[in-house]
Amino acid sequence: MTDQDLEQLSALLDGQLERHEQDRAVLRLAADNLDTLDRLGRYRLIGDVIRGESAVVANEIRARVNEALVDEPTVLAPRARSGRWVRPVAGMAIAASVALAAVVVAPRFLQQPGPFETEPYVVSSPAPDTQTVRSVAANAAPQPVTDANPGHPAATGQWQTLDARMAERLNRLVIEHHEFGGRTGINGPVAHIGLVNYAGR
Amino acid sequence: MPAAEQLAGALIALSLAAAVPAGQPDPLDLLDRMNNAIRSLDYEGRFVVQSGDRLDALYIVHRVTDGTEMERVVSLTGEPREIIRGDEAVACLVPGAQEPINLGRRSQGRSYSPLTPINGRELRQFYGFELLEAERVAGRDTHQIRVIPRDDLRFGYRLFVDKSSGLPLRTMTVDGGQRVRSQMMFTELKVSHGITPIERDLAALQIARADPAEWSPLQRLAPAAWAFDDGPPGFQLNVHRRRALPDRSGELEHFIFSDGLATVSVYVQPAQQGGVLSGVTRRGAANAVGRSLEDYEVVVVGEVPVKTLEWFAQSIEPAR
Repeated sequence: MTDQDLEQLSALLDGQLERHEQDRAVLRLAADNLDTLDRLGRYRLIGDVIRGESAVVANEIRARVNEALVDEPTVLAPRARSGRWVRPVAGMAIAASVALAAVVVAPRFLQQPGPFETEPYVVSSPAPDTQTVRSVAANAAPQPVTDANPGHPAATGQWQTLDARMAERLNRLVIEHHEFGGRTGINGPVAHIGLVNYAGR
Repeated sequence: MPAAEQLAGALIALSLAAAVPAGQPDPLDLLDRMNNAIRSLDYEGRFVVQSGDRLDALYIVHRVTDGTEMERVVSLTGEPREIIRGDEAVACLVPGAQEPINLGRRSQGRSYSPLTPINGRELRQFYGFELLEAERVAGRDTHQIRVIPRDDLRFGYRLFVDKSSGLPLRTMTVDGGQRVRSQMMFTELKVSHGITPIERDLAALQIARADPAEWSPLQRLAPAAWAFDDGPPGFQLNVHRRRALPDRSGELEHFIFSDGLATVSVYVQPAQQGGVLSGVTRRGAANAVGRSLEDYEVVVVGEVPVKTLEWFAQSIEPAR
């Protein structure tokens, strides 16, 4: 650890850094040498306790160092609030055939619900203009992908107009998009719904 | 700020505030509960997914043990496909594929898929929310929520949220032409009790653990090499990450933006030998836009209109 690092650590421990500087310092120091930082953090903690001062800072820094090391990727969003955890109970699998269930529900499932048909709710929905993108990409070679008429409703189970190799690469990106993008229920119970589909061939 | 502007701001805020009838739940509270339920509850069920003209039936079991999520999703139609998700990795097993698609994650329980609480004030700038007539799905009573985009940069949604558990039992993504782009619906669901253990697939997770070579703290801490000049309104950068490309030919930068409901990913990587994705492609509710930028390939992916993806694709530039 260099003198500059020690200076920065000192400033960090003394609370002299702005919040964004704190984060940067913690991450850099954590990447540099965890053992040294941890030891210094302990020394500071001991000193704080002896002096009767708050030990929160040292504890917080240690926690943030540990967090930084396991923090993949760098998350800029607010922390999730804790949920209600329910311990699992062993049990039996659902017995009914999903094939039968799919047949039973399919007509209703595929039917367009009323309010969307009768109450248009988007002020304007112009046809997507892909010209800009294609003109920018015009100098790139080769160009295996062309405009796939994105406004057309009949999407297929595969990426439109992509060759297998390109589709596989895009699948991987979509999986990462789902996995790292934050899991909400807006597209169903799990991001894996899309993932399972995209992984299929 | 002049008093007139403050007054105008207050009026706008009031106009965006929810008008929830007495006795009715606030749709945003239901969304928040839903987002927590899918992560924190034990559940098991079967559901169908429509994406474009494709209909799939799937099985899911999700369990939480000591705060750690474990999940298994199996396709019941078409080619056998399976996804095992644990605390340290995600394994996608696809027979016929050259190799499983694996995503590693760091240990110690830190999710790399952060759950962001619903911010009603921000969301209402870009979406309207309506509580529609209650319906039954999978034999369970649900609240029905309609999410209406206020511009053409986002899709709309229709959500059927289980009154009892808060889980989304049916969801639909609807484009600007009122067409359902994708939807899912549970046909059977068990919650909290009698959930099947997830044991036999632990070996798959071992395989899928993080590839250390793809994870470099020093590189990860480096500032982003790319910046965005005036992106689509409402989308905030939530996540920035890097990973090494499989052949170690360089690294990929990944930016994830969200407006609170919809998510957009922007990837930048050195141009690939196999060609650069240029133009537009789509699958179900997902669109993808690609372009070349200097010697790099930019790919933008998300369940939003192409117009939004193109906006991102055009606003990216090398960081100064």
